Amino acid sequence: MRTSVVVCAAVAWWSAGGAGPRAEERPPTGRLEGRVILSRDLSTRKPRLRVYSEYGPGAIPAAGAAETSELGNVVVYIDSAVPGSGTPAAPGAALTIEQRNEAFIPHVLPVLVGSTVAFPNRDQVFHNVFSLSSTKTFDLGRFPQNASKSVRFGKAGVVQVFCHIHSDMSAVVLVLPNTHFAVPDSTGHYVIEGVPPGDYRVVAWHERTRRTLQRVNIAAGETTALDFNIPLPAQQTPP
Amino acid sequence: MNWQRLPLSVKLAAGSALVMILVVGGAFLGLSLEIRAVTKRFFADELRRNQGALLNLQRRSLEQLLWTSAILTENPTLRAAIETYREEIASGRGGGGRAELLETIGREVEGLVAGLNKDLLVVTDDRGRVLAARERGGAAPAPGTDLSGLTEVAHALDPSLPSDSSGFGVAHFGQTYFQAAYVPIVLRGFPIGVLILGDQIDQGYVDELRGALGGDVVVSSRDGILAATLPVTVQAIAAVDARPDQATTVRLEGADYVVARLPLGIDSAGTPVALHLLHPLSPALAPLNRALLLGFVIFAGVAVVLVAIGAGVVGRSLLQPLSRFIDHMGGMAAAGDAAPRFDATGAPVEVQTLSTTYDRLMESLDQKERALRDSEARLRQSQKLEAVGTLAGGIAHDFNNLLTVIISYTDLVLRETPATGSTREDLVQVKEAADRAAALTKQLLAFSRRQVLQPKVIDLSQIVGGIKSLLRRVIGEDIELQAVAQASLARVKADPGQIEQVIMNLAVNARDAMPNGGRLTIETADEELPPKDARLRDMMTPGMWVRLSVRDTGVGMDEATQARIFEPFFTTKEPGKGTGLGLATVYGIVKQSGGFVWVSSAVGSGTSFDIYLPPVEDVIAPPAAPPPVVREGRETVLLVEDEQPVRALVKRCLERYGYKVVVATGMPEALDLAARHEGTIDLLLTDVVMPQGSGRELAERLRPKRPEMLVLFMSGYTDDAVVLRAGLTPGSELLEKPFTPQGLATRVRQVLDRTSETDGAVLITP
Repeated sequence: MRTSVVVCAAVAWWSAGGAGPRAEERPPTGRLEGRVILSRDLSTRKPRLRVYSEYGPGAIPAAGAAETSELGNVVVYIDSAVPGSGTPAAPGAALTIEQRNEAFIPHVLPVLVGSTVAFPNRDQVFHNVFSLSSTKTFDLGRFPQNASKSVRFGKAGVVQVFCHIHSDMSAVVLVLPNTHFAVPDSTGHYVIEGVPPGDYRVVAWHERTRRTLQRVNIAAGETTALDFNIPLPAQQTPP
Repeated sequence: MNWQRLPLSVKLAAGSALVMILVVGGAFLGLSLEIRAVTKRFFADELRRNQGALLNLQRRSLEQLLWTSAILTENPTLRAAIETYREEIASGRGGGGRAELLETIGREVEGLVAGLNKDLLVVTDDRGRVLAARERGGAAPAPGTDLSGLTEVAHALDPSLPSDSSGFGVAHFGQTYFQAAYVPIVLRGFPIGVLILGDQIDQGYVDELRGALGGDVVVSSRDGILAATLPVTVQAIAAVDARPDQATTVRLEGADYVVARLPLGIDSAGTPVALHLLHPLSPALAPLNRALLLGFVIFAGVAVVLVAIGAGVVGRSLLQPLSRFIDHMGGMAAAGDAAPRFDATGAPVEVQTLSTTYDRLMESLDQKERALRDSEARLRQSQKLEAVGTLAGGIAHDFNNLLTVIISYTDLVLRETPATGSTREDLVQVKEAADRAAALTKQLLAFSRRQVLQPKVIDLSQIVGGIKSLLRRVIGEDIELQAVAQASLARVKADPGQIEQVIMNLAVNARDAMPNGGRLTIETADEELPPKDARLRDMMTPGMWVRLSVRDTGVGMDEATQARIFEPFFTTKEPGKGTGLGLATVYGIVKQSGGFVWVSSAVGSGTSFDIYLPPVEDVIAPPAAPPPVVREGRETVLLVEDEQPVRALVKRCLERYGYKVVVATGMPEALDLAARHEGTIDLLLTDVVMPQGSGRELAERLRPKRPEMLVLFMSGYTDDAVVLRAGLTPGSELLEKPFTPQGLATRVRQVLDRTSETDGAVLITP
C-alpha cells in the first residue's frame, strides 16, 4: 500500500513537471494582484493550559512568531472553472510537509488535485500523521526520524492533517482544482499570473474563517487588483 | 424542722458552707465562662486556620479536576474529529457534518469517561454547542444544546482570555448539580471547543469530602441546600454567608460550629454556589468542661469541709463558753446574788470580756442598791427628826409664852418681896423651876432649829482651846482628854456659844460611855472631800470642809441605837440622868449652821462623831462689848400684842423703865391709835404672828405715816421661815420670847439708841 502511494506520487510529480513548458504557448492571459489584510482576531492566540511546568525533550512548543503571522496560512485561489486548466500544472518544487519541532511546516499547503505530498519526519520523536477529512482520509502510522511517507490527493477539498501523538500538530492540505492560487507574502501581497480572461470567483481561504469570496473580471494582458479583508463582515459572506 | 430554732453553731456551719459554695460556685462560673470564651476563641482561630488549609486542599483538588480536563483535551483523535467536523460544517461539504465524525467524538468521550471516576463529561464545539455528553445519571444535555450562554463556556471560548485555573463552575443540568471544570480545547492557540468535566454534588460528594476534610460539609446555593452531611436549613447557612468575616462561630442545631466558606461558582441560574466546611467546637471544649467541673467539685468539697471544720472550731471555742455563761446567768437569776462568779478561764477573749463586764455591772448594781438603801434610811431618819422637831417647836412656843409670864411676874413679885421670909424662898424656887423649864424649851428649840442663832466667823480650834479646861472638869480624872486642834484652821460661821454647847454635849455623852475610863479626843481639821466620798455622804457637796471630831474609846453603839440617837427624848441612860435632848440639840445646831454630823460606832470599839461645817472667807469679828447697863427712857412705844398676859407684862415692864406705852391688841387698833396719837411714836413693839394682820404688815403700813418710827418685833416662834416672811427691814429688830424684863428693856434701849451691834436677840438665860 505504501509503495503504491509513493509510486503514484512520483508519477504525478513527473507528469506535472513535464506539462510545465507547454503552458507558455497558451493565449495571452491577465494578472490578478492584491493585498490580503487579516483581522487582528486571527492573530490572537489562546494559550493552552500548561499542565506540566517543565517540557520534556521534543515537547517544545511552536515558535510564537509563526503564530502571529497568519498571512502565510492564507491561500487566495480562483474557485471557478478556469479554461485550459484541466491538466495539472507541474509543480516547481517537491511538495512536502515536514514535521519539525512538533509542528507541520508549512501549516497550509495548497496543491493541485492529483498532487502527492511527502510528510518527512525531521523530529527525533515518532509522529503519526493522519486525517479524518472526507476529502482524503488516511493514516500514515508511526514513523521515526527522517522517514517520510507520501499521500496523493486525488480529490479537491480541504484535508486536515494531524499527528496522533502530538495533539497540537495540525496541517491543512488545500487540494485545489487549478493552479491559479497564491500565498501572500509577509506583507500580504499576492500575485496570480497567467489567468485567462474571464469572470471568476476568487476565494481567500483561511482555516479559521469562512471562505471570503469575490467576483472579478480578468482581462487579457491586464493586471486586475483585488484586495481581501479577512474575515469579511458576516452579511457579505455567502453561505 | 424550724430553721430559726436551730442552735447557733449549726446555723454558723451551714451558713458558712452555703456561702462558701456560693463563692466557689460564682468564682468557678466566672472562671469557666472566661476560660470557655478564651478557649473557644482559641479553638475557633485554630480551626479556622486548619479550615483555610483544608479549603486550599479542596481548591487543589478542584485544580486537579482542571488538570484532568486539560489532559483530556490533549486527545488527538478527539481534536482531529472536532476540528475536522468544524471545518466540514464551515465549508459546507460533507453534508453538514458527517455522522462518522460525531460518532468518533462520542466514542472518544465514552472512552475518556470509562477511564475516569467522573460523573459528567461534555464536549462542545467552538460555538458552545454540545457535540457529545456523558453523564451517569442521564441528565446530560443532548447534542446540539447551545451552552454558549454559560459564563464559563463563553470564557473558555473567548480567544482573548487566558486559559487559567479559574475555570471552575457549577454545572446545572436538570435538577442535578455538578462541580465542574471548564477547559477550552485549544489547537495551535485557537479554541476549537470546550470540555466540561464534573463531579455530581450529591450525598456521596459531601460524604467523601467529610472524610477527607474531617468536618461537616454543606453545599448550598441561594435557593437551597444542594447536599449536606448534617441537617441544616438554607436560612442558617444564609446567615453565615451574610457575615462571613465577623462570625467566628455559628450556632446550628444547638451546637457551635466554626465555618469556612469556599465559593464553587455560579450556577446556570446565576446564583452563587458555595461549599461550607463546618467544624464543631463542642467536642474540643468537652474535655475542658470536664476538667473544670472536676476542679469545681474538688475545690468546693475541700472548701466546704474546711469551713465546716472552722465552724466547728469556732463553735467549740466561742459558743460553748458562751452557752456555759448563759447557763451561769440563768443560775444566778434563779439563785440570786449568792451564785459564784463565772469561771471564764480558757474561754475566748470575747467571752472573758463579756463575763468581766457582766461582773462589773453586777457590782455596780450592788453598790447602787446599797447607796439607795442608805439614802432612804437617812431620808427617813431626817424626816422623822423633822417631824419631831416641828412637834417640839410648837410645844416650846406655847411654853415660852407661859414661861415668859411666869418668870416675869415672879421677878416682879420678887422685887417687891422682902429679902427675908419664907415667901421669898418659895418664889425663888418657882423662879428656878421656871428657869429650868425655859432651858429645856430652849434645847427643844435648838433641836428643832427654831432658835435664833447669833452666828459669827469663828475658829473652831480656838473654840476647842477655850473649852478644854471646862471639859476636863466635866469628864473627870479617869478620862484622858486629847485635843488635836489644827493650827490656822479655816474659818466657819456659827454661833460660838452653840458650838461650845455641841462640844459639851458630845463630851458628856463620851464620858458616860466610858465609865471605866478611856480617852476622849477632840480634833479639828480642814478636810477635802473627794467627789466619790461626797457621793456617799449624799447631802454634802464635794470640796473643802472644816471637820470637828469627837471620839471616845467607850462601849460604842449598835446600829439600832445609832439610827435613833438624834431623836429627842431618846436616851440609853438611866431615868433621871439624861434628858434625851443632848444629841438632838447637837443635830439641830449643826443643821442650822449649814453643817452635817456623822456618827460611826461599833459595840466595844468606841464612838466617833464627825461634824462638818462649810468654811468661810470672812475674818473673825472682834469680841463683843460687855452688856451695857440698862438705862431708862422717855420715848413713846406703841405696843401691839394679841395675848393679854404678855401685853400687860410688857406694858408694865416698859412703864417701869420710864417709857410711855400706847397699847393695841391687833393691827386695826394699832392703826387707829397711830392715826389718832398726837406727838411722836418712837418705837413700834409688835408681835409677829397675830390673828388680824402680821406685825410685818403693820410696820409697813405705819412706816409712810411715821417714817421716824423704829420697829422691834417680838416672837416666841422664831422659825427661819417666819423670819423670812416677816422680812426684817433695816432698822427692824427681833426680840425673842421668852424674855426677861431686863432683857426687854435692854433691847428696847439698844434699838432706840441705835447702838445695837448685833442683829439678834439677847439671850434670856438667867
